[in-house]
Amino acid sequence: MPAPERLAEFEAAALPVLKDLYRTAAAQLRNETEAQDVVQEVYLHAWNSFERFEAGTNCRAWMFKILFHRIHHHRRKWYRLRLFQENEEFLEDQLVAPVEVADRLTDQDVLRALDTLPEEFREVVLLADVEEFTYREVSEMLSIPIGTVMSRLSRGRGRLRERLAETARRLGIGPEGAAA
Amino acid sequence: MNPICEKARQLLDSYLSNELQVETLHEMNEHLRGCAECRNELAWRRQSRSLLAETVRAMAPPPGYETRIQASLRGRTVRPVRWWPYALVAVAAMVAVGWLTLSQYRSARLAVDALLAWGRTDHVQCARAYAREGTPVAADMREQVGAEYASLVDAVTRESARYVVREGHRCKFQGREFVHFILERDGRLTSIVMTKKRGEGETFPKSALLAAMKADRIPVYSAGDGEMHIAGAEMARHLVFVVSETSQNESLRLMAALIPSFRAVER
Repeated sequence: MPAPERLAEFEAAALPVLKDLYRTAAAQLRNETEAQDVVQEVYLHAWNSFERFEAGTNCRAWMFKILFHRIHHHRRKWYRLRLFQENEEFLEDQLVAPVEVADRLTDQDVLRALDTLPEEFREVVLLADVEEFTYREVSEMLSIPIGTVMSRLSRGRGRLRERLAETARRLGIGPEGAAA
Repeated sequence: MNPICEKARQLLDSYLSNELQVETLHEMNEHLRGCAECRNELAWRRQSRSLLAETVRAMAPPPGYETRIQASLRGRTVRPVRWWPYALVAVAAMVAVGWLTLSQYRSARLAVDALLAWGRTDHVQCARAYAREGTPVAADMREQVGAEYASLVDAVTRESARYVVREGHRCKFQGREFVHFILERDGRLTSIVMTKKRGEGETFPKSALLAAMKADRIPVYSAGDGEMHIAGAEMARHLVFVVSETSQNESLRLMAALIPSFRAVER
């Protein structure tokens, strides 16, 4: 464990990303209490290994890497089988109307759609499209090849769009025939 | 869908993420200029992506969460000793003599740690926060600690072969008064602490299993982590502590060396 006087230094580097870590954990785990516990674990782990953190490198990416280690560990511990309903509905492949869906879908619609993604797709989508890490950073964070990141992203984004489009169509708000 | 659009759709997400090579980016721009369907698809993908980002970014931790994290980090920094090594010793002893149950052991251990925490508190709140440079003269320290504890000054000064004596004073935390000596060696601080017991309830649980050793027939209890090693003992009217940043052995050695002096204060 680093010397206590480094705690202020650690907090200055690590606490600014607390909200980012929390929202990613909450979205990935889909449980706020679990997210709070996991993020707290992340900070304790990060503090314990702060001596190994190289000053000047990307603290945010380092914290996210620890987050996903903890999430995977947590998942192994508390694995719950999620029902994943594969929707075979074929979506028309032509777009005939302007898309104005975003304002009409609620946060719950979006989170429900996200929830249907398998975890390995959800994590890359969150890291790339919400936290805006590059493919390479995601690859390093999750210790998977960059090609795997890209294929998971492509499939994850596609499935997410399918779900959103289904919801939109059910509500009668388009996107008319948006492709996944 | 024609093959060109099909290829474009495969690259649209990378286009949105600005992850395309320059040449491909140029081709994509060319295609989008002439293809309304792909432009619509691009708009939908951009919209669904920003919808996701906005939704997830709105998920905020509960109020007070950052404070909780900070508290847990501080708790970790000065946490008391892990109980499990002691529990293992206890289980081994139970097997041998069938004495304490594990739950009895754990609650007794917690009671020991709670008392030892007073020594740690004074060390963290006073020695670490306010230790000064320089060495006070013995006469000043005697005056600071008061006549009742003046004899301790000589005992502490006897340690000056090993330590630089930094302070000798009275301090007060959480409504409790401490006689406190601060020593330093190689940048590491050691506190010697004496405080009056608060009634009969404030007593170490009586079990030979819990004590780290006996000095002058008085059980000495111990706790610590990688940074602080606390030795504590109970006198007739006082609790006494040595908090060392060096090692458990050193905290116990110092306690053993000082017990006759603590005893002398009570005579």
